[in-house]
Amino acid sequence: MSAGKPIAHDSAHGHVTGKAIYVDDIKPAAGQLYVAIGGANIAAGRIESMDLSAVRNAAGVVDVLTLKDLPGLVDIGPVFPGDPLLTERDVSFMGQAIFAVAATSFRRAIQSLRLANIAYRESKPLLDLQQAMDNEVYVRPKHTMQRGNAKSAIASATHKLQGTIHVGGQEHFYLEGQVALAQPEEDGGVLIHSSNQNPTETQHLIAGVLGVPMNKVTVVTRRMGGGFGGKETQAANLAAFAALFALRNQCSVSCRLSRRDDMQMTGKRHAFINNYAVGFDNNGLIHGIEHVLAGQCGHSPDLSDAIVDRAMFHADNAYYLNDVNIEGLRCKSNTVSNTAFRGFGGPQGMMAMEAVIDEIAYALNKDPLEIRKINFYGQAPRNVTPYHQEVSSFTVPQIVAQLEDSANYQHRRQAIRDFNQSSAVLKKGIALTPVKFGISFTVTHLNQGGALLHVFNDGSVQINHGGTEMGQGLMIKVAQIVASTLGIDLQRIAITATRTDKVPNTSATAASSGTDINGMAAKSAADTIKSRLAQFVVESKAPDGHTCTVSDVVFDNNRISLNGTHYNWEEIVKEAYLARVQLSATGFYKTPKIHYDRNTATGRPFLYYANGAAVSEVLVDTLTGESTLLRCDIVHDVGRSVNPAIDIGQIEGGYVQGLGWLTTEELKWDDSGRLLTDGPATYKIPAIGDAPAEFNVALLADTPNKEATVFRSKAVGEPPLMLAISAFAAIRDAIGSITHYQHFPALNSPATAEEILRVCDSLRTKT
Amino acid sequence: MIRFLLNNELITLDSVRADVTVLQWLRERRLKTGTKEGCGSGDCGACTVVLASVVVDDATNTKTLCYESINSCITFIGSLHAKQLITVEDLAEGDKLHPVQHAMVEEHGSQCGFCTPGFIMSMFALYHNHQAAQFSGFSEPVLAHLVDRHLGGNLCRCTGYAPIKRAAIKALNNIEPDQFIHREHETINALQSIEQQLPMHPRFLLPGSIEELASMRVQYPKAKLLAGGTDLALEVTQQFNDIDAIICIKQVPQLLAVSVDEQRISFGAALSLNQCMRTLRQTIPSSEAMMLRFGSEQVRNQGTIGGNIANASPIGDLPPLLLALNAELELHGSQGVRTLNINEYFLDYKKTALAADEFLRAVHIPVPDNSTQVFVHKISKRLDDDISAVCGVFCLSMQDNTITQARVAFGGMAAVPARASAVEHVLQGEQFNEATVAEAIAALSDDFQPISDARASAHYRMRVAANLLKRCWLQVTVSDAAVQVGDYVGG
Repeated sequence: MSAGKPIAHDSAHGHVTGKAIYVDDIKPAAGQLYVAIGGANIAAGRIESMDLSAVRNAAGVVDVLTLKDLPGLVDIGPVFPGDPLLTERDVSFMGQAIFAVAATSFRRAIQSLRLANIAYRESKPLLDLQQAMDNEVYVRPKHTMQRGNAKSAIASATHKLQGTIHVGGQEHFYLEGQVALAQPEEDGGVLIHSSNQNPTETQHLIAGVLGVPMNKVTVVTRRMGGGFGGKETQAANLAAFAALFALRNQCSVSCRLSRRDDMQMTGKRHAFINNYAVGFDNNGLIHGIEHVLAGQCGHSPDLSDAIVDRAMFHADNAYYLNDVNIEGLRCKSNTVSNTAFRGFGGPQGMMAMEAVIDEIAYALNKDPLEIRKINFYGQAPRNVTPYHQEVSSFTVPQIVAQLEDSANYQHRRQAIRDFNQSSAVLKKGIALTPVKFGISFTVTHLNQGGALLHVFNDGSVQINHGGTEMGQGLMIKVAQIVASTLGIDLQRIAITATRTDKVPNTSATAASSGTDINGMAAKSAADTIKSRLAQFVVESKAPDGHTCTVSDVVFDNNRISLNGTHYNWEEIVKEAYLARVQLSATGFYKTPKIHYDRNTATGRPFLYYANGAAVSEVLVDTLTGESTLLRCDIVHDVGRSVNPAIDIGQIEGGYVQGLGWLTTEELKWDDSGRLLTDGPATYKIPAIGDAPAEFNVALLADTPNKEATVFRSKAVGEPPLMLAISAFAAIRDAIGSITHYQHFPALNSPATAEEILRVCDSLRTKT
Repeated sequence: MIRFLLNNELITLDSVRADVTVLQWLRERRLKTGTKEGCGSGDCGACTVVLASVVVDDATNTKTLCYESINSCITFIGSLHAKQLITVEDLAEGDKLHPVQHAMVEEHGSQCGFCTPGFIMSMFALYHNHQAAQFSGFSEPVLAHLVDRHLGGNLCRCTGYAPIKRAAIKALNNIEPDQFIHREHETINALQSIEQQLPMHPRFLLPGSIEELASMRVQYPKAKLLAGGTDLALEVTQQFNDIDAIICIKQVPQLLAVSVDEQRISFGAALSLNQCMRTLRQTIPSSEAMMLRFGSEQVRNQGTIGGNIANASPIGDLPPLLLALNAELELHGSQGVRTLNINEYFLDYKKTALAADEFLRAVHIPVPDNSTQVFVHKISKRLDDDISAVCGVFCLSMQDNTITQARVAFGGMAAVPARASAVEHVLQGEQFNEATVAEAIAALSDDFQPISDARASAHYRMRVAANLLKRCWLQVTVSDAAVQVGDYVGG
């Protein structure tokens, strides 16, 4: 059985030889055109006049699109309106699309953009999150979750404190930028190859933009060169431009963004300002807590309602909060609309809670781990979240105990304190932080998946499902699930591109749900095939006079067996075909048990929680603020893993991506609203030297998911990103040594060298 | 014309535009799409390819191939002249993967796979260099550091690098001759036959001597001078400007010369940063840590000492070092050759003392005497492959703890890389102690009023510049203890 084995990514060979094909690698068709998008040069204001004649006349330019050329829908906001494909009047962020050009080459298209003559009336852009908070400028109304009376619980607590933590945004920096290739089909149809986490949504939006029914539009996604949430909604506009030009000019049209345009024009992780007030006792037990989580949404709602909700859902992290009030604000700014990014708001919410824990530890002069443990979710009644979901199969205490031991936490913590005593400039820090992350889309209807399984009459199998491959290994996992269900080798199964004409009405590959939803749908299709074949075997192979049922038929080892007689898979498939057994099946899955009433902020939005914890040790230079990660130990619960190699890859990769978010990745805008950090020269994601020198990752053993997920596995896409909060907390710990841990270092994220030095300097004034 | 080997195929280009990049040529002209564009600015490594060129050992007259990784997105096609271009498609032999590819599959080193071809090529270059290094006695303390250094210019957003490191180490621990080694002799012969004189490409000019270069500089005043191109190419790939004509100086032997004696080190202007580093670290060991953090391996292979000086960026890393070392620049013009102290070279933001008909020919660096200590400090947001927020170099001559001479230079603190004369003035003649350091720090604001930008704020730059002075003093007084993150990690 292939499920449970550390099998290589299905495209590994293609990756290392350069043979794996990404959208921009598709061989250009004769007469293919290339798109460039003309963006606004102001962040807020109005277009006074626009003259594109020089653009139209530029060498190589074939077609130009403006708002009035759009045949159908203009607004492509995925949930709420606010994202016009093109604007001709109001500008609400720098780089907002005003026109698009199709030319004979990518360079010609881009070079023509500068010939546009556009006059603006500029207004002062709103760029500051604090200002938006103060003035209550929101893209969506605020929302609250609460239980008990937080205010009075804080007031009556022995100790109280309040604080603020700023959490920076993050650029996805998928290595493959946004790209789409459209090919016209007959009868007004169009086929679009798109690097896209959400082909159905793009199909839906393009149909709207073209003014045709969805059945005229097919979106195909074989693989993405990284997505991380950045291609959930923000791949749609490129695909729409490509489709529009393809139909207007009846030729293939490629639309891809240069790295700079990608960074200027597409959304990022939301920056947050989190305010908290907490009351606690002498042991550090939290009695009451108030969180205000303010997300910077950019100019439009996009997915921000759900993202800020998820921040709120995770403002408890792994801790029971008795009297609690969590308020989520969706603040507007004249910047690109921020969007999904691995963790989807959850990480920002957790950052607030982990700051609270650390600050309590400073107030009581205790090890933060002690405060963590005492506040973990536990037995009833301390097992209910602020949104009234019961926390079951909570493995955090078990994980933390294992990790504390395997990472030698207590001993190292003491050694670090000794080191810091004798080291004047370099300081070390250590922290152990847990993760509890809710699994399911919080918008309930999205929790559905479909699959299509073909068994061809030679015994070969093709699997298709609604999930997309962005590197996370979804395709190989689903193939393993199908192979294991049918009892055949993985080699018999072909993995195919995700296509909206094969499996319709799919949800985005997001919310860590890919394997849970699509694996289960594929399994259901495989089960259907299996029962048909079993029925056929019972009917055709049962020895005379024996009563057999389908449950006597065994699928294993490329054989189908009944009563000790083995038949080859191919043999039975061929016979079944000749006997007119249907060898193609669809599969469908909807996540059970979940429900959520947003009006009362109560329910069970998540089927289960994914758990993990990490210990990070850092070294900080208190003269320059430079820091480095010395060691990281992780124990993570993936249930019964479908593919441990793939899961460990998600854990290592998620951690380092989170590390970048919290340390070197800094987004900076100038006063006019232009993103200054618009390329890898200025925006620094982790490089190989930033990965921890010692990196120990273990999967929690023997913990099948208590919920009936596919093969009892647990989702793993997003949760490990938040393990990196341990590195941030470790930096805080290192800085704290300056005052011998007497003063809490109010460190903001990202903890760049500059930010670390700022906090070191401010603490030095207190010694 | 431009002639090179695409793996084993002889390519001749006589009408290609001068500003076509290797990446563009591969993907658009040859439809070889294994090599990816991640950023188009040489900062992510997805487009990494390997160039093999013939190296002749003067002493023995033996010829070997030198394999270097480069960013194909910022390399103009003409730069391939007389070299072998190896891309990710060339490594496997049929279904048999190259050892570095095999290790990456085994260790699960790819997820989305888009950066993978670039990693494979950087690992391939390292694989060959490591093999050569084993024979030249160049020892590496820890294999992991070697891997970090060579792969520091390849960004991966998925894996967190752990499996890539494991794969690289695995491949390096099991080196065996690959098809490129087996074919080395034929490749050398093929490349050497290219080096024979060919008719000149009309827009990508490849002078073969200093005289030819000098006359071309006059004959084609609008042609851009190209050395490594790591900066020039950005005009094409980031600004989307066209460059019609290029004079490439990489085939001029005089510009590729290194000489070292007891008094001075001389570098030809077209020497790569890696070539300079290999010499420099022997005389000025403290320069090595900074040089290893200079760009990435690809950029260090491609970028040149001359380019780093001539483009006059305020944040180049060599100028502060050369300013503190009191280097002399040899400038070649139509009126002859003149020598200028580098301190007189940088006039204003991107403005230099180089005349229109001149080019930078060589850099002469006086060897510091035994009483002189050189401290080299680079501060950037990310340790590897990042441009300095501040780069400070301190060249202090001391007798009995008295500073007899101080040359202090900074990058990132002004519109040009510059000496800190007020700081130097304070230090000169004083005891190197805490009080002197405090006085020197106070003088910093007389020397610099830095700006805030994407990399750092003005405040941070001033604070760090001050603290770097303190760091130097700590390095002298508490020299046993590690005082910088790099020491600790490297140690």
